[in-house]
Amino acid sequence: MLKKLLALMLLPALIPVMAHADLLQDVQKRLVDAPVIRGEFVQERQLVGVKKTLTASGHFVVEKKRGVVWHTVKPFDQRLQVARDEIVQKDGKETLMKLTADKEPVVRTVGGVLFSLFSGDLSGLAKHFDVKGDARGARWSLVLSPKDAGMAKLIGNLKLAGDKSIEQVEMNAASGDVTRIRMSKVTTSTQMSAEDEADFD
Amino acid sequence: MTESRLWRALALAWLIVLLGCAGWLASQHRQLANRLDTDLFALLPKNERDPVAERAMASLAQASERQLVLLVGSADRDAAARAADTLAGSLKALPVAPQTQALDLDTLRDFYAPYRGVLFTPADAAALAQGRSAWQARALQQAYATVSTSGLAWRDDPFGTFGRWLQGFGDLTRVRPEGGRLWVDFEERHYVVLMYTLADSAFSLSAQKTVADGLDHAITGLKAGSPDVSVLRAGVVLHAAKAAQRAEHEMSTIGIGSLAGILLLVLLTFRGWRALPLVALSIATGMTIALALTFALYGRVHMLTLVFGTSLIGVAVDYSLLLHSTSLGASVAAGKRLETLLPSLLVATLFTALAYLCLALTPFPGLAQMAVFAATGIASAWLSELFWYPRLAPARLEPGVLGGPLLKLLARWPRLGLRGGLVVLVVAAPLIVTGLLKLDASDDVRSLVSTDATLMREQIAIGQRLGLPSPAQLFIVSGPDAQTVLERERTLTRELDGFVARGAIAGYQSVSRWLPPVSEQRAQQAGAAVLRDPALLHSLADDIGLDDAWVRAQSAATPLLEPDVWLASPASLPARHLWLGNTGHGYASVVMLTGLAGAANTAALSKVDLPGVRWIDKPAEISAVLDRYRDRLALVLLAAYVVTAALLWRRYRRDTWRVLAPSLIASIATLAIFGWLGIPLQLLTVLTLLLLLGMGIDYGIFVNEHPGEVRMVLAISLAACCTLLSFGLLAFSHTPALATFGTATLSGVGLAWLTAPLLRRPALPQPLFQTAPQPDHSSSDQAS
Repeated sequence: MLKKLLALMLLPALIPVMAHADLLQDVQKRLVDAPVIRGEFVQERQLVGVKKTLTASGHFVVEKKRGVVWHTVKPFDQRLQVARDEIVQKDGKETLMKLTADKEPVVRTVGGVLFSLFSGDLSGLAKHFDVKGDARGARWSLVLSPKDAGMAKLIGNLKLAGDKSIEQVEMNAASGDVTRIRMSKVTTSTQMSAEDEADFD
Repeated sequence: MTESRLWRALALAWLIVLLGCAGWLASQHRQLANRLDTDLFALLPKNERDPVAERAMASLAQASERQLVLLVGSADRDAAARAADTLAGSLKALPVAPQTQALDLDTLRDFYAPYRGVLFTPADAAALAQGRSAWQARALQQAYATVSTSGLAWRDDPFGTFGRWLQGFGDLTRVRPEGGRLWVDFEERHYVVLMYTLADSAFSLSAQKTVADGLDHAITGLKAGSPDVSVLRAGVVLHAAKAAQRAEHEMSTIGIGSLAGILLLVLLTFRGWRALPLVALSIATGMTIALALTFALYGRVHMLTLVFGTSLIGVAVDYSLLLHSTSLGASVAAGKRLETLLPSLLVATLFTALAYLCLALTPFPGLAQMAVFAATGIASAWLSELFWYPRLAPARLEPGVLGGPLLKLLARWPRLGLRGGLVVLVVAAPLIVTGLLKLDASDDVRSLVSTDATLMREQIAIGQRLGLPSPAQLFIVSGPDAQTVLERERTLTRELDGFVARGAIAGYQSVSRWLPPVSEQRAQQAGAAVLRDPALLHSLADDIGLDDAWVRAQSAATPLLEPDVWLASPASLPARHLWLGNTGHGYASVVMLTGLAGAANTAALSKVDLPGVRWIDKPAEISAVLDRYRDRLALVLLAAYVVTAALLWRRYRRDTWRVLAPSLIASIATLAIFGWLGIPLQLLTVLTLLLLLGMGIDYGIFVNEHPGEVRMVLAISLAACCTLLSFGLLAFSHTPALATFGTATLSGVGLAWLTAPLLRRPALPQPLFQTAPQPDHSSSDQAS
């Protein structure tokens, strides 16, 4: 009797583990794949000790080879450009921060995660995170926890949800700051427009 | 004389000494084995003029001596990861503990956070000059930014300055953690980095061997399964194990080779076995007492001392061979024979032992040990003859299978007259002069220390892939107090930034990067006043929605980081080996360089001239010491010849040159031979020439003391053969130092032995001792 009870209790815990590989594949299959993906976003930050929610909005472009541009328009014009081995933060045209992988190897890890995250490359995320979640319903949702102790000191976990594209991202930083991003109006194309190009500059 | 009671007592006492030493060695052998040194650099000179540099080197060596680093690489990431796991699994049984990355960003962040108000990147420090509004804008941007790369909450680093300062540590290591493993990429290959620390118990030779063999075995197994995977190794323990293995091999080769050769020679030269006990006892006493005394004198004995010491077998037998040979066929009591030969024996031994002791004149700890070992061994062998010969020598010794023909042959050994001498001179002089002209002087560290080429290659490859600093070329910064040292370091690193920009070096490691000088911290604190401005902070708090407590906390000046606090924290672990602290000559630290290559760059660095900053180039420095001592010992050698000549003059008068010439001629010829062979003149060659003076004089003394006695020529021939055997085997040593000794002695002793009888005094054949009539023995009629 007791054994059965224990088995029953363990069962729900076992399901996501067993489904792990399939889960990611299922979600990946449902995501739209195209050379160029663009869309708009609204970002809300909940900082430790701060009552107000800080809201920013803007648009993003993903180009499979060149990387991701995360262009905040309101309240500041600010860009975050993430390639596989470079992270650049820009205030208008002025570069605030530039990290390159050959000088700072950590960048490759962080950059890789951000790139995978924003470009919807879930298999890339699986390298660094343990994945749990549910992809049975109309919408899927995933919780990613860092595999690496070093990464866990930066990121507590990531929560992703969506349908044909990633629609919501919640980043719980280890420090307690929370960033929630909602993405909308996602469109795809085979090549970048002049506007997109300008974002990569 | 030798039959007196006193002499019997002495003989007994000497036996007790021998047995005591042997017993002590036997009872302590386990503990003594742990006191054996395999450190390759134990042979290198201590820098007695620069104790601070010496301490720096010791500190750096200590930081790495227990480390074992392995790189498991493949073009395929997953293959590399699998191979690394397999290898790590098979190393579990070895006395090594896996070590995690030394640099933990979390620890660093927590330690430095209280001092964030004085720690700024150069770019941020420059930006502090910008006004309030610029910084307010930055803080707001930071608050709205998607990611914070420092991992700190915005509240704790509103301007992002501390986060950026921490980022700067990112380039200290090229290793990055991923999926629970440490990775480094190099030229399209992915490597998993495995780091181990040797357990305490692994300091014995046997444990080192266990680690090295276990690793070899594991790697062989791994490669058999996946040939695409490459493994690179680095660790002092591997070199030590290799050196020990070689030393053991060489000791057994030289030991067995010399023993077998000597025993065979004795059995063939003398009829029956009765000559053997004294020969064997000479070797046993020489080796046992030398070993015991060396261990008693030194805390740790180097393996190479034992390798060199093994070659002493061939020298220790000289005196018993001499006594045996000269008394072939003699019908005089052993005690009388000894008394007759005692004066020349005493002189010869003294010269040889003194020559060996000259090795101790050098600043090389290894050579000093060898000197003690050799001098003790020779003296002990001699004392054995003195005390035991009268009691143990056979009453009558007859020539054996080889002895008889040898005596006949040696009796024909020509004497070189004036005319013959001139002919030889005319023929040999051009050869010798050209040889000497070809000889060039060069002292290189590699002439002392040899490292396993494969291990060295792998170590260099690991250094390249991990971006490790050069351990032998570095700066030492010193000053009267800690803060001065840090300030001077800053001046130096500003200069080095230029070298980095020019690509001469990839980077540098310095304490001031972890612990900025207090003066600089104060300046930063003053400059950062804008960030503590209550007006700015209040305005920010209003914008974002923070309370007054936050404003108060941010507007307070942060404390300054003091050296003691830093040193006591785990955050200093990655750089602690660079801080020498109070050396007794003031304070000092080390600045190490990464990616240094090329003689031009090294030369440029050596010209950096700043107060309290010294460039240390260990290989160059050792070569300079070797050069200096080579010249110094060359003078000692000349002086030794003059003093020896003066001493010999008292006894030999106008024949002094006959005693001294064999050594001199052999020395010059050896130098010429080295010139022809392209072996450069090194400190060790000069040392060998000193030894040669000691040994060559023996031959000169013996043949000139008794020029009419052919048995004397036999004696020195046997002695020379044994010496040649031992040193000849030493010439095959893998340690260049020992091989040079071996080669030079082989050539020198050989030539001295060949020349000595040629230059003997003219004399009629005259046996030293009255001989009983022999059917096959006739006196030589060759003397002229």
